[in-house]
Order: sequence, then C-alpha cells, then structure tokens
Amino acid sequence: MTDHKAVGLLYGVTALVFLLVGFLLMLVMRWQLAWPTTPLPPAIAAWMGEANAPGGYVLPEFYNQLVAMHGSVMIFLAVVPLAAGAFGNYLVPLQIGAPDMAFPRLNAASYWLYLAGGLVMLASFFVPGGAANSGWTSYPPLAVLATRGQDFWLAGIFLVGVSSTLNAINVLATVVGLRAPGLTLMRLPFFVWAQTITALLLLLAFPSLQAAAVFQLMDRLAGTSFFLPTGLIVGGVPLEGFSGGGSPLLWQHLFWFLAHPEVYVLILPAFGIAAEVLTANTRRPLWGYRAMVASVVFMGGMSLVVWAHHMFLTGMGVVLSTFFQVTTMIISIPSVVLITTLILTLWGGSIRFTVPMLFALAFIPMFGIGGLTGLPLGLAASDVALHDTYYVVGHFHYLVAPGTLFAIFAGIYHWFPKITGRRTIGWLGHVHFWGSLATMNAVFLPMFAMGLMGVNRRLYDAGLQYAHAQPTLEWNAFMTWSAVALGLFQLPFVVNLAVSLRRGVPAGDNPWEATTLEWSAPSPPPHGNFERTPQVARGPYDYSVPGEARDFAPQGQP
Amino acid sequence: MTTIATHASASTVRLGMWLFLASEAMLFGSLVSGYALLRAGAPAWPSSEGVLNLWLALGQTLLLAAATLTSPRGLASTAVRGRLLAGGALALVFVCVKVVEYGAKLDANLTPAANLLLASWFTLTGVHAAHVAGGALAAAWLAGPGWNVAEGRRSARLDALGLYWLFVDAVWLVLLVGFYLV
Amino acid sequence: MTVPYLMESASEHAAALDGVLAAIHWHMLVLALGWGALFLYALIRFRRRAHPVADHRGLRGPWPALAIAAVIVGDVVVLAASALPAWIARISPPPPRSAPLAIRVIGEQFAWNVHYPGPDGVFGPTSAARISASNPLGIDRADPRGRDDVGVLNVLVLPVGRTVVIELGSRDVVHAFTLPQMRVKQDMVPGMTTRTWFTPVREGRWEIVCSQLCGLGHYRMKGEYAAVPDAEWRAWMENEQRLLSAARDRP
Ligand code: HEA
Ligand code: HEA
Ligand code: CUA
Ligand SMILES: [Cu+2]
Repeated sequence: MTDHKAVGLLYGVTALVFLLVGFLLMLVMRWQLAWPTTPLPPAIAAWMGEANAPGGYVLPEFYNQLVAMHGSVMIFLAVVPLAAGAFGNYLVPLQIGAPDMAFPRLNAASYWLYLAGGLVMLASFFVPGGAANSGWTSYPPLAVLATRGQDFWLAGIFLVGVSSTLNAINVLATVVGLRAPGLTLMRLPFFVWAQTITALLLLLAFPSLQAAAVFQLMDRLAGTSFFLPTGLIVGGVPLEGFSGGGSPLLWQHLFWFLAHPEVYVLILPAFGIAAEVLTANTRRPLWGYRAMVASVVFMGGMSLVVWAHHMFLTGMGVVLSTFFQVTTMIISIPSVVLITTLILTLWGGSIRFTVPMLFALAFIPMFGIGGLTGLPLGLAASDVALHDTYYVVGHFHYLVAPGTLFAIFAGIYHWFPKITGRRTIGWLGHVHFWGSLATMNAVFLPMFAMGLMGVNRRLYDAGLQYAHAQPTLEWNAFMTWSAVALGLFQLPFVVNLAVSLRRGVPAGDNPWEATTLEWSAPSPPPHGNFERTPQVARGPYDYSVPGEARDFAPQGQP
Repeated sequence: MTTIATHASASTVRLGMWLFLASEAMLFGSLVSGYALLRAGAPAWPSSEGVLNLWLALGQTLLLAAATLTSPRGLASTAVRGRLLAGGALALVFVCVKVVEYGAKLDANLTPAANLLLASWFTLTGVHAAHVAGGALAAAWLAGPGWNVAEGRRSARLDALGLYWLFVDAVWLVLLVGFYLV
Repeated sequence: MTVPYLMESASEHAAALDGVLAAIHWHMLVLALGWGALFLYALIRFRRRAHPVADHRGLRGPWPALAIAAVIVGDVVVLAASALPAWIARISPPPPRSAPLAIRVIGEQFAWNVHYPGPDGVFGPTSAARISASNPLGIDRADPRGRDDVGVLNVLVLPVGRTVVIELGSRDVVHAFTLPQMRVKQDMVPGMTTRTWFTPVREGRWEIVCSQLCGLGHYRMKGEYAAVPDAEWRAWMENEQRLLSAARDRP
C-alpha cells in the first residue's frame, strides 16, 4: 500500500470518517446550545454515558470536551487530511505526470502516523476525566492543569505533526523532482501550486506547535514550569510542586505561529480545487494565472508573520499591535486577488452548471463572507467588541465549512470519475448541493448578529446567564435544527458515492473534456499512472483556443 | 508498456533531506527561542554553576564530532559499512552518556521541575539526544537492511545521513553555547 | 452609523471603536456588493445557453487592477484614518485630566476579585495566606495602606464621568475581563499585570463577562457592574468604609 493513489484514498476515507465524528460531536454540542436545560434524548444520553451526561444533562466539563474535540478533529483530523492528504497525494503526481510520489514508503508512513495520532486523540474520550477540554487552542495554565485527556491531545498532535512533515516533504520533493518533461513551473496546474505552498507551510509551521507540545507535555508530566508563572493559586490553594517563572503567553505565540498558517493550509487546497473545476466547466483558462501564483506564494510567506492578530487583547504594545494589524491587512490582499481572478475566470466562459461546478461556484461567495468578516477582527479597535464572540465563530466557519468543505465536495464530484471510472448521479448531487447551501447558511449567518450583540463563544449554556444574550437564545434551536438538516442532506452524498461506485455510468478517461494531465491517464489510473511518460508542450488550461477543432487541448498533446 | 520509476533519484533524496532539515531547524528554532524568551523575561535566572558540567559537555561534543567524521560521504567500498557502524556506535555512546548524566542529575535532585534552567536543559538536550539516537538507528539501517540498493542511491543516502549529522552537530553547538557559555 | 445588532455602548471611547467597526463594515459591504454583482452577472450572462462558445482571452483592460488598487486604498484609509489611531489611543495611558480612579481586578476560577484602594488612593499589600471568605483578596488589614481598602467579589461600582484605570491580573488561568457596554475587553494573564482604562458616560447596571475559556465554570463567571452618578458612588464608598470599621470594632 505505498501507491500514492492508495495512500490518497486511505487518507480520504479515514478523513471522511473523522469528518463524521466531528459532525456528531458538534450535534451533541448544538443540542446543548439550543436546549441548555433539557436532557439529551435518552438514546444519545445512554451513549454519552453517566459520567458525561448524568440523566441526560450534559455537564459543563463535557461540553468543553465536545468543543475542544470538535475543533481539533475537524481541523487536524478531517479537513486538512482531506484537503492536503487525500487530494494532494492522489492528484499531485497525476497532475505532474509522475508515476508516484518521490518517497512512496514515507508517504505510507505519513498516513499511518496520522491514523495513529487520530486514534490517540479520540481514545482520550475513554480515559478518566475524558478528552481534552481546554479548547482546540489549549491555552495554559488551563491546559496544563487539565485532566489526563490533554496528554493524549498533545501526543496526538505531535504524531499528526510528524505525519504532516513527511507528507509535506514528499509533495515538495515530488513537485520539484518528478515533473514530466516540458512541465515547467509556469505550466503547473494551479492546484499543484496551491498544494506546494500548503506543503511548505506545513513543513515550516507545524514544528513550532510540536515544540510547544513538547513543552506542555513536560509541564504536565515532568513538573516543569515553561508555561506556569510564579505564584499560581488554584481553587484558593497555592499550587505546589512547580518552580514557576514560566510564561503563558509563550504558548500562545508558539501555537498561533502554527495555527495561523494552518488556516491557509485549510484554504489554499480549496482554491486549487476551485480553479480546476471552474476552468473545466467554463471552458476557459484561469484568468490571471500568473497573478494567482504570485498571490499564493506571497500569501504563504506573509502567513508566517501575522499570528499575533489572535492575541490583540493580551496587552501588546503600540509597535507590535501596529505591526500585526498592518500585516493582517496586507495578507488579505492576495485573497482578494484570488477571489477576483476566480470570478473573472467566469467572464467570457460558457458555464456548465454541473454538480462539482455548483459547489465550486458556491465556494466563491462563501469564502467572500468568511474572508470579509476577518477584516474587522484584524483591526484591534474593532476586535474589542468581537473577540471571543460568535462573530469569530461565524467568520471561520464560513471559510472552513461552506468554504473549504464545499471545495472538497466539488473536488470529490469532479475527480470521482477519474478515481473509479464511473460518473456520479446528477440529481442526488443537486439535492446534496442545494440542501447543504441553505442549511450551512442557516447555521452560520445568525452567528454574526449574535457576536455583535456580544454573545461569547464556548459558553456551555449559550449565554443563559447573561442579560444581553437573552434575545439570541431562541435562535439556537433554529440553528441546531439546521445543523441536523445539514447532516441529513449529506445522505444523498453518501448514497451517491456508494451507488455510483458499483453502478455508475462508465465515465471514460476524460468525462469533463479537461486539459490537465490526470485526464489523459486511464480511469482509474493503474499503478504507475501513465502508459508512457507524458511530454508536456503547453500550459495547463488550453480551453477554447481559437482555431483548434476541439474546445480543449490536453497538456500532453503536442 | 509501463515504466515505473519506483525510486527517487539521488538528487531527490538529497532534496528530501534538505527539506526535512528545514523543518527540523524550525523545531529547534522554536525550542531554542522558547528558552531564550523565558530566560530574557525572567527577573532572575538560576545559575548553572555546579549544576551543568561544561567538561562533560565538551566530551560529548568530541563524541558527536567523531561520529560525524566517521560518517562516509559518497564512498562506495565495503569499508563504508564499517564506518557507518562506527559512527552509529559513537552516537549510541553519546546517547548512553547522556542517559547516565540525566540519571545522575535526577539522583542529585536536580530535576526538570527544580527550575526553568533545568527544565529547558532536560527538554532541549533530550529532544537533541533523541535525534542522535535516530541518527544511530538510521546508520544501522543503512549498513544493514538498507544496504542492497543501487550504487547511486546508496551514496545519496549516505550523503543525506552525513548532512543529518552535520545538522545534529550544529544544534548541539547552539545548545552548548546557550546553556554552558552564556 | 452604527453596525446593526451591535450592543449598546456607555463609555467615552466607545464611539471611536464603534466608528472603526462601522467603517470596516462599509468597506466590506461595498466589496460584497460589488464582487457579488459581478459574480451573479457573470453567471447569468455566460451560462452555456446564452454563451455557447467560450472566449479564450476573456476580460481585458485595466479594470481588475484598478479594483484591487481601490481595495488597497480602502484598507489603507481605514487603517490609517480610523483603526490605528483609535487603537493607539486605547493602549496609551489616559489623558491627564482629573485624577483617575484606580481599581484592581483579579480573576480566579470563576470569580472577579475587585480591589479598591479606598480613600487614601493606595492599594494595601495582599497575600495568598490571608485569603478567606470575608477577605477574598487577602488584603493586609494591619497595614495602614490596607485598612481602608475595599475588597468585593463580583461587584464593580463606577462613577459616571470619571476616568477609571483598572489593573488586571489572574490567580490561576487566563481570563478576559469584559465590560461589553464599555467596550472594554482585556485578557488577565497570570504572572502579568495588564491595564485598561475608560470613562463611563452613561448610567446603567450591566454584567461583567469572562471572554476566555477558563474551565468548567467559564459560562457562569459573571459579575455585576454599575455606572452611577458621582455622588452615589461616594455614598457607596462611605458605606463600605462604615462596614469596614464595624468589622474592625467587632472583637
Ligand atoms: C480557512 C481558514 C481561515 C482563513 C482563510 C482566514 C482568513 C482571515 N482571517 Fe481568520 N480565523 C480562522 C480561520 C481562517 N481565517 C479561524 C479558525 C479563527 C479562530 C481561531 C480560534 O480562535 O479558535 C480565525 C480568527 C481570526 C482572527 C482572530 C479573531 C479573534 O479571536 O478575535 C482574526 C484577526 O485578525 C482573523 C483574521 C483573518 C483575516 C484578515 C483573514 C483574511 O485572510 C481574509 C481575506 C479575504 C477577504 C478579504 C475576502 C475578499 C473577498 C471578496 C473581495 C469577494 C467577496 C465576494 C463575494 C461576496 C461574491 N481570523
Ligand atoms: C475545519 C474545521 C471545522 C469545520 C468543518 C466545522 C464544521 C462545523 N462546526 Fe465547528 N468549529 C471548529 C472547526 C470546524 N467546524 C473550530 C476550530 C471550533 C472552535 C473550537 C474551540 O472553541 O476550541 C468550532 C466550534 C464550533 C461551534 C462553537 C462552539 C462554542 O464556541 O461553544 C459551533 C456551534 O455551532 C460549531 C458548529 C459547526 C457546524 C454546524 C459545522 C458544520 O459545518 C459541519 C458540517 C459537516 C458535515 C455536514 C459532515 C458531513 C459528513 C460527511 C460528508 C461524512 C460522510 C462520511 C461517511 C459516512 C464515512 N463549531
Ligand atoms: Cu474566566 Cu472564562
Ligand atoms: Cu489568523
């Protein structure tokens, strides 16, 4: 099992299961938000166990586990492994005309390390005290004082980090070393560029979280005080056995040094997928390919110097806070360029509203909403009202859920015929799309209003205690029902894939009449991918070239 | 006709090692800057006088240097295998010395929990020692199960290992300066 | 123009911060409408039925570059004219007007320990050993500076119109001291002292909120605060002093 396609598929299937886990954790959490004083339905309560939900009443400490694990599972175990692990592994070698990854065995190892990390994290639900409960951000001292589950979280993150590093090395070495003859850098499909920068970010940013995880594990297991200042008094009692002298903010810096680039790891592959799907379905080249490449490269570089915009309210001085506000505004420009080029790609096209195209199109305004709402967070003055409120939750979910997840769905529908040799069923795809679009917005749009009204995130009772949150309490039921419906609208998707796998209409090698190299390999591609090494003589998107007989010219065609 | 090049070329192996080291540099960079920031921010930093042993550390430096020097670069003879194993053995000696040193510190009640100096020292040198152990394992693997591959590929791997030792040495020098000399 | 749904405000600097919020939301609105209109128009005009043959070249001309330039200009204007000045004013010391009222608030799981220096204006020494139910801050009552100090739990009373400077700290984990209506939100990091200042301009009774996940009781780490007329605030302080001396006289 070292073939890049097998590894990619393993990544994909595993990550989809984790996506389901993250979704289920979220449903329990959303029940609690909608009906904070009502016990869970008996069947679910029994499943959660007496220790977590006695009599069906979710305990606050369990709610905190749900939030922390929903966030961690979604980001580290579901969406990044899908976007970078599955799509990257499966498609990068195919799109550059390579037979496999540069280091196939390391590639397989990266999958198993990811699986191990994920299982370690999930196993923590079964240790005394339950899973990690200090948020996906694991701020100390809270996380250092937390129950045993935090050790599992840290160990899991460490393993996932090693896995990401191996995967990143592989992608980079493959793109640099194994491109087909004639495939110059400026002829790479945009998808490959996006994956390359993603890999670079993982390679350079993840180690800082690993270092932080080592420090935090030492604090928890060896009694060091990297993140514990002198003189802590916990529950009225001075904390014994710690030397003190450490700095809680050190963790925050190390964490966000990874976690900010990590959000670009979540979004860049989505842009890559959208670019491929849009060109094939508009029958036009990408508008401004060079500007897009320049933008992702610039974005990758800048993403390493904006991290402290998550920390405006920790008491930064004038110089630092000005620096991070300015860099945050600067890094939003390449995003504007990317979204503009995607929209302009439509201009002059001949648009086919296929199912993957619908998801890719929806990605554009959803990313737009999520990205635009990042701007007020990036200005410290307006962040005061919004920090730690549902506005932030709305901001990033628009980017990761109807943003990245939609792009992932687009990608799955788009490349399913390549992977299996069969087409998916159109009407099921339409149900999946329209249902998901409506329900996603129903869950997340109200969050901006809630945030402006001052309702905080990570509240076990959705703000029942607070006067200013009272008007929003009843919105939560609507949002929760929408989340349930969102889940139900995934059934057509699952059914579609399951049925099409066996009974789908045979697709042939190039059902979309697309240009990039993977479409000239057989469907499904055999071990080694190509019958003979492709010779590349043209750019990635030669659609509708004037004077040609067909409206597309594959990259491998002379 | 399927032409499957199942092996990365020599230059790709070298590139892979450089990428890995870039990532490792970020790891140690984060660890060292954590140490530096804590130390710079501390009102009073514990003295290493009588706690850390500079002579022992210099001895360990010699061991590491020897391990690096024995590591063969691009040689193709059978003597290479012996040098590989010798380098691995020296690295193992380094790790053993470290383990003994840790044990002695713990016995003397100089634990990581005692203060931030010892906390940082144990953690940073510990992560470094794990890398030395990893290098020893890699050397053993190259001399053993990983030996029977094409000539060019083997020499690329040997080069990669050589690079790795140089990196591990460089990190050690940074630690040496950071803990014993400033 | 305030942003819809935005919570009411009651401090002097709130207008500046809300102004930044409004400015950036206008900027966002223009972008959303402009780009959204372009997007929808392109979808309709270039659907396959209306436009069966795609145009390889696509849009030409300076418009895209000009649009990006306009976005950059918008960003720069909001930053330079509104956001940065407002924030720098916020984190600089308060303007030297009348003597500000100093208060210390120490967070702990899950309560707010509010410490007033009393009429002498000097905080008495505190220590962990003296913490008790009747002395939650552990103020040293034997020390002359600490005799008149007022230590209360989860209650903050402020005089309207007077600048308040609050020193923040935490005993255990990170909390975030939040007075939503005052547009005050500041992390309390153990081992560090952070500061915030503001001037209440409107009377009212509201709630102190914790804006940083601090454990299982984070959701109920609530306090009350009131902005009252200066006279009323003085009366309250005098009453606290009476209570203190009554407690001292008790054997
Ligand atoms: C994919 C993930 C992703 C992406 C891409 C971004 C992108 C951005 N983020 Fe976001 N962010 C997160 C994920 C992401 N973020 C997460 C997970 C958190 C919370 C972490 C936590 O605390 O738990 C967070 C939190 C967060 C904060 C901290 C808030 C706080 O805690 O108080 C800040 C502050 O600066 C911020 C800013 C930004 C900015 C300026 C961008 C910019 O890069 C955005 C630039 C994009 C645009 C400007 C859009 C332009 C679009 C158009 C012009 C077109 C519109 C089109 C139509 C409508 C058709 N983000
Ligand atoms: C990539 C990241 C990601 C994704 C995709 C999501 C997806 C969703 N999230 Fe999540 N969320 C986070 C990352 C993410 N979240 C983070 C980081 C936090 C903060 C945590 C913290 O505070 O520490 C958070 C917090 C968070 C909160 C706030 C909790 C609080 O502060 O108290 C809420 C509340 O509604 C929420 C809801 C949702 C919903 C409704 C979805 C939906 O969009 C879910 C959609 C998913 C599906 C519909 C699943 C479909 C499943 C399949 C297709 C699988 C089929 C496969 C098989 C059958 C094998 N999330
Ligand atoms: Cu204190 Cu949350
Ligand atoms: Cu960020």
